[in-house]
Order: sequence, then C-alpha cells, then structure tokens
Amino acid sequence: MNGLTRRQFGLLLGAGASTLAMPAYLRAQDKPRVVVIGGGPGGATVAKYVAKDSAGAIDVTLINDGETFTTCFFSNLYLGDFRTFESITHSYDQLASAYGINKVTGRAVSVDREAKTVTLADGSTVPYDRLVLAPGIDVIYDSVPGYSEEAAEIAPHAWKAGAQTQLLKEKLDAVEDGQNIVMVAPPNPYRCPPGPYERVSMFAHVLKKKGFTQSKIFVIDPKETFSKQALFTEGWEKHYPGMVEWYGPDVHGGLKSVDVAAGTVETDLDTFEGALLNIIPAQRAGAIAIDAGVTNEAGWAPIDAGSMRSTIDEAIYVIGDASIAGDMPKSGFSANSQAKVAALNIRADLTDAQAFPARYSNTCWSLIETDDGVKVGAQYEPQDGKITALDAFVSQPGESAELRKETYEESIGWYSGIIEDTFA
Amino acid sequence: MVASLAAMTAVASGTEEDSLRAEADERVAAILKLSPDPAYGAYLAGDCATCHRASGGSDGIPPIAGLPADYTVNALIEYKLGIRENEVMVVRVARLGDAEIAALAAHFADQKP
Repeated sequence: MNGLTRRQFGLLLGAGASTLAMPAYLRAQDKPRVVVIGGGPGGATVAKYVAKDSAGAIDVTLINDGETFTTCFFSNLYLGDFRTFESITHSYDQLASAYGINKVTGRAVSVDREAKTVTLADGSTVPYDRLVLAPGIDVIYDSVPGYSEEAAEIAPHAWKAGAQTQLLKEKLDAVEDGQNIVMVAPPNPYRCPPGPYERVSMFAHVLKKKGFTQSKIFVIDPKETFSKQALFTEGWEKHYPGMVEWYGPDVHGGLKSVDVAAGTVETDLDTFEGALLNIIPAQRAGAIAIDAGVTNEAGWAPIDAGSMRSTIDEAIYVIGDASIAGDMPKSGFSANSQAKVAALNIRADLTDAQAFPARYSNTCWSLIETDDGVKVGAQYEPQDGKITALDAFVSQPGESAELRKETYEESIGWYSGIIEDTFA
Repeated sequence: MVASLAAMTAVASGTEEDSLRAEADERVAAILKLSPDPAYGAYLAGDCATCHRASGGSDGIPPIAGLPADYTVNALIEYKLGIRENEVMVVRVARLGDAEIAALAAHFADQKP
C-alpha cells in the first residue's frame, strides 16, 4: 500500500465503491485467500502445492475436523496386521511449519457462496477467494434397510478411516473359529473400488493365521462384477480355499435387510448369520459439498475436466471422492493427482502462474495375502469434457510369486511416497 | 535344422535389441538438445512425486531426485520403447512427448535429495 492506509486508499477510490472496485486479492488483506475443506490426500495435497508453489503469494487455510488424519488406503493392511494404526495416521504439523499453511481444526458446516465465507461448527467464519472442497464421501446409512449411524457402532462400515476402523479390527480379532463374517458390499460409485475385496482378503488372512478351519466369510454384493475380480477370486481359492463365498445379485436375489443386534443379513436367497457384520452402504459426496449446492441429484459434484473447477460455482474447486472425475476411480491416488491440477489452476487464477494442460494418474494396489500384491492403474486426460482413461494396465491372473512380491513392495514405496507428497 | 533356426532367432533378436538401443540413443540425444521449461517440469513432476519421494527416501520405489538429466531421459525412453518393463511406468510415459521428458529430466537434475 506504499504509505497509504487502507482507509485512505478506500477514500481515494470513493467510499462504498472501494470494496467492489478493488480486485479480490486486495480486499481485507494483501494476499488472495485459498480455503480448503478436508485434510485427506486431496485437500492436504492441494493446500501444500498452492502454498509451496506460490511461495507466500497466496494465503492458504486448511480446515479439517481432526488434529490427525488416518488414511483409508492401507487401513485394510492394519486389519490384516501388516501395519499399525499409528503408521497410517499422520499429522499436519509439517504443512504448517514448512509451508505456512493455517491449519484450522474444526468442522465446516456451511458455505455462503455469495459472501464467499465458510462457517465452522463453533460459529466462526473464514473468508475465501477460492474454495476447495475435498470432503471425501459420506455413507448413506439408510441405503441398507435396517442400518443406521447407531447400528454402525455394532456393525461397523469402517469406510471412513478412524474409530470405525479400530472398532472393526477389535471385532475381527474377537471372531472365533466356526463363527462367520458377513460383508455387505457397496453399489457403484464408491470410494476405493477394490477396497471391499482387499478387506475380505485381510479378514481371511487373519482367520487363516489363527488356524481357523470352520469360519466363513460371506460377501453380499449388489454388483454383478467387481474390481480385479479375476485376481481376487484366484487369490481366495489359492490362499483361503473354501473360506470366502461371494454372492452377486443374480444369486442372492437382493438384499432385504440387516439386523445388527441379531447379526443377520437377509436376502431373497437366504439369511446369512455372522459374529461380525461389515456393512458398507451406498455413498455420496461429503455433506459440506451437498450443503454448498455444488452437487448433482445423485450427490456428487460435477467439475471441469481440465481444472477440477466446479461447473456450478467458478470460485469453487471440488477434488477427490466428492467429484465426478470421469473414468478416474475414487481413490487416494486420484485425489492426490487431481489436487495438483487444481493447485496449478488456482495459482493461475490468482497469480501470474502459467496453467498447463491437465494430466491425471492413478494406481490402486491391493494385497491378497502376504507378498501377493496386485495393481490396476491408468493415465488420464480431459477428452470431450470428461476425464478419460487413455492408457491402462491391470495385474494378470497366474503371475509369478516374484512379480507379486515386487508389486507388494512397490505399494509400500507408494504409501511412503504419497504420504510425503501429501503431509510433508 | 533346429539348431540353425535357434541360431537365426538369436541373431534376429540380437539385431532387434541393437536397433532398439540405437533408436533409444538417438531419441535421448535429440531430447537432451531441447531447452526445457522449468515451470512445466515442476508441474509435470507432481505426477512423479506421488511415488518417488522428493526427499529422495526410498522403500520399494527408487529415488529419482538429483539424477542427472541424461539418466532420466534414457530411463523414460527405455520405458517408452519397452526396454524397461514396469506397468506403472510404461503407462506414465505413454503420453509424454520430447518436451515433457526434457522438462522432467531437467527438473529432477535440479533437485537436491
């Protein structure tokens, strides 16, 4: 402001007109403000890349309701005793200290798109010039008849990592030989397409390791087919013969209801009983995206394929699971990739940074049994207004044990990589 | 007959390998002559950082920060030509043109792990 006070500057421009006349980045403070809601692999990454690459030219605030973040990816490996809970839980300390990001611990409850402010549960408001919504998913409890938020305390979904994951682990470890596990798998689209089936593998791994021979794992699936099906089916037969029974809709005939107190899942075909029920309901974008009015009738946020900008509000970007990202699966890797495209476009929006064409990538690794890792992935670019898979690969049935071990080791390296890229 | 066929196959694949190597060397040399755009390299490198740690740490995935540009260009061309095999990398390089490879290689050569 070169010696002029803000008030004098306003007077020079003419009282009242000043706020409107000034570009957004001069309003209230000197720097443009980016506010990010959600501190997962999408939100934390976009906050980091905007702060890091703008080198102090943009003020970045990251709002997340926890002090730490537990990743959904690799949470199945915690269930299978391959990882500790601590090893999949990360703090935001480095984002604050290394990049000057303002970390706000609190729950964002509403967005005023006219005033460009976010209101937190404690009543405080945070103004923004650009808002990034990265809230992940919410589960739709009543998409499974008989299921509810309360019922999830008995039959965890564990599809948002944290206390639910620990509850599921506790219940898994309490299963005795001869007792069964019933999983209700989610309909498309949902977070982490291979996730339910990797989880089944980890359930089976734990039971097998204890020497159980009488327990079964039933999967009641609303889908005809599922991600990496040939690989999982082969792996279950090889490592856990007779233990896993998967039922598609043409066999079970439809899910009627669950009774978590009785431990039953009723379908047209039969009633399945389990000492452990893992109910994974249908999903939609996190509540804040729906509340902000940037989602469609199905509960997901449409975005511009070249920038991740909301097609409903140009001051808002939506990344990760909450967005409709064309061919990209809802995964931590996808969210991290989308975050970098959004970060560049936000910097180009607010500073003189140059925007380059969007490129996206994803790989999903899954563990079937010790040292038996598989992967699926692709490279994506915008085409005809949609994020489109252009090159893809998937592990093949019958691969050598050596290659599967390499794939698993690669996944360990990836986990270290994405955590550093997101939180450090 | 069988022996001579086998010998011919060996010669053929040897020639194929030699010509692939020659093609790789030619492309690497051409790419190293380009003037890479640092901002473009920094943006493209975001795609690599998901797996290859900027700090240079590694467990299961090799570090690439600080590698000389000619090494990186050669490695990426080898993935493109099928000399190196890793499904993830083959897909990642499929849509990288010469300008992108040059920008990435210069970017990583500049990194201090």
